[in-house]
Amino acid sequence: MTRRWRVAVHALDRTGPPMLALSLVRWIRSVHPADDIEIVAFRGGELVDEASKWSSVEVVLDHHEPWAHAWPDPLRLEALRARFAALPSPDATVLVSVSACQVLQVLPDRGEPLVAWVVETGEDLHWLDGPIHVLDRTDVWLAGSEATASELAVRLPRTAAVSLAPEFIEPPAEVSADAVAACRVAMGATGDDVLVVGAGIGTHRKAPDLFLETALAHHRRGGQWRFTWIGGTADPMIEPLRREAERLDMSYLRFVDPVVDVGPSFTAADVFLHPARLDSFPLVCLHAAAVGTPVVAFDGVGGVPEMFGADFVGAPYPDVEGLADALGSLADVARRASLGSSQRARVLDRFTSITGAPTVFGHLASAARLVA
Amino acid sequence: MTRPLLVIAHEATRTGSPAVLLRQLAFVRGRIDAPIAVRLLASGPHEADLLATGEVDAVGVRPAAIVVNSAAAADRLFEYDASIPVMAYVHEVGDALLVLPDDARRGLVERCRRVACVSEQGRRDLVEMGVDADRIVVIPPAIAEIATPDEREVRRARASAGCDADATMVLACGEAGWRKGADLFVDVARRMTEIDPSLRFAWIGRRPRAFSRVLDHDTRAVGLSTTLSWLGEMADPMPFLAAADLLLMCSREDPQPLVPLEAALVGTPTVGFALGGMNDLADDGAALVVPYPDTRELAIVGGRVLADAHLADGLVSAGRRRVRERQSIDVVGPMFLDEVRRLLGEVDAAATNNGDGAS
Repeated sequence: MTRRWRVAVHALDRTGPPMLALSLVRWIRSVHPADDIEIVAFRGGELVDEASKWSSVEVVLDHHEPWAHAWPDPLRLEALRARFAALPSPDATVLVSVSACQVLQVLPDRGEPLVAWVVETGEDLHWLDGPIHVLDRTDVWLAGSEATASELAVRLPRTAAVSLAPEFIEPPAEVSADAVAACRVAMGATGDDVLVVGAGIGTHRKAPDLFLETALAHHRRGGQWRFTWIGGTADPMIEPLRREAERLDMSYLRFVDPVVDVGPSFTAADVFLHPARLDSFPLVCLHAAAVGTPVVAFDGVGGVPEMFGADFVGAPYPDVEGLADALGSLADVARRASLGSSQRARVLDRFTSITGAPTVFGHLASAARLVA
Repeated sequence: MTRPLLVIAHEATRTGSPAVLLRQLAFVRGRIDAPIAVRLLASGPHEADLLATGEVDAVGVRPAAIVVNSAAAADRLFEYDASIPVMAYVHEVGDALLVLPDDARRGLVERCRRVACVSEQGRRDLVEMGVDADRIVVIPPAIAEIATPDEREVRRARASAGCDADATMVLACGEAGWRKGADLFVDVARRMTEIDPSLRFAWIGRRPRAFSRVLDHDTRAVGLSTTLSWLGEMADPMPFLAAADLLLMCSREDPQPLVPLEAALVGTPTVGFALGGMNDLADDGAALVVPYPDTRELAIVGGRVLADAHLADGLVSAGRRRVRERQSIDVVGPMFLDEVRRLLGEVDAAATNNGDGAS
């Protein structure tokens, strides 16, 4: 009999949880090709077409449709519930991030097993207390990192067991030398320039402002490296930072548009700097390390230290000067190569879909059997 | 009836620009022949005070001349006849000027006979924007005379920041956003605490909602939840400035900071980043500055000032001297008044030659 899995996400934009969900779906499709998979996204985004190649896709809301979770428009809610009432029941549903629980408002509740794979920390866990009552609906709790697991241990009822299911990426594809060279030029690096890359949307959470300040601190102490932030150029925060960089004569700093495939850009970098103020288990750090680019980040704001263990390099948040020191400790090319190699080995060993997806899928399948 | 001087103020918040306008209007009122009419574009705690400086109603007024306070209000000039002489008092610099709506920018460039700004940096930015250099005058913001808060108020301020009588209190002030460097304040507080765990920290000023989440996160993350207080906006910040042992200015941009001078008037020294107007204060010996964004160095310098009473006294004395010589209302009031009189005099001439200029 064909098994049917439902994978729920908050959106199909190019952010962490949807990318993670797609990695999971591709793995299920490749290992269990006979299974049916259905992605339900509360909102759409630029990954809808890609997701449609691997599964059926349902997007709940229209583009930019306003929605109040505590007080949804009753007529619209009724219409959405009617639209999804005919969907066949899955054997189990997995929420990829707790914010994906938004879809539960409109999907029929026929008692199918629900697995919540929580990949958030801090204030993003507010969905646990929200109007959707995800605590009452969830059968199995998974945490995408130890950082998340430790917060869930405090926030969930004592009876709730939380299993660790680390977030993962798909193994990196080979990148041609030409592609790398082109990326270096696009990011402002020539010849023997040392290129530091950061990436993310333009929010205080991802902290491109601290990326700028770390670059400034590096140069103030005599450093000559070049710095490029990828992404967020459509967000309101980036343009003021560009002006800030101009005001401070930081010709060595660039902000460039997001890229569809981060592999070539991250391979082109000599160091990946992740100055996020809060990030539970950042996939961009996995991507960078997976191609051998050493990662520098803050300690105390999420899962990067557990990602790299003894090979973590960084500074306690919010010590920007400490991050500049950490960059300085990688001045030697051999040291960068050595760190990149050891971080890469750890990521490929523990945090790719080869090891990570079976863990999540195992919990999903077990949950289905539980109810059956 | 004499046609009035119309003053268009962009807001009445408890920030520098409306406060400076209030001081200037109080000085000008009664020293010019024309009555004053005040048009307020947005409200705030200073609304009643600002409107009270008006002597005639601003609605439907036929002004003899117009003063707009802050560049953001310059878009309204197009509601009035182009022959009416206009002066803008521009408190913004840098980024704040770059993001002006087109109409406000055009208002400054095309409609203003005179443009007053608060610093030399402001003059450079305005020239870059397209304002003729010979139309620009620098009028530093006026600092009010400040009565030293009484002991009871100071004790209450210290208590609200969690300070007992013996504790050392480090203060910051302003809208607690990214531009004012509220996140950097947390980092400096963390570093100073590592050196002296008994220190207490407080920030007075409104917290924008989105950034307040960053600040709460940061405060918790660095373990300062019990020693750093976000006190919110205060009707009277002076007891807090008087209660503090040190003022930290962590701004990423501040063209002409007033708070360090107000702090000096009540005996509190200032340290900050070497940006914008803080450089001017440092040149006068009224503040110690370190390169932005070196929070490590700022914490060290802050500690030095706390430990060295002679150094602190020197900063305070220099701040008071600067106020006395360059920013008291007795110095800058006549500069502003002179500009207003020139403006009104031009109206008289224009009226003779061109007739009525009211719209």
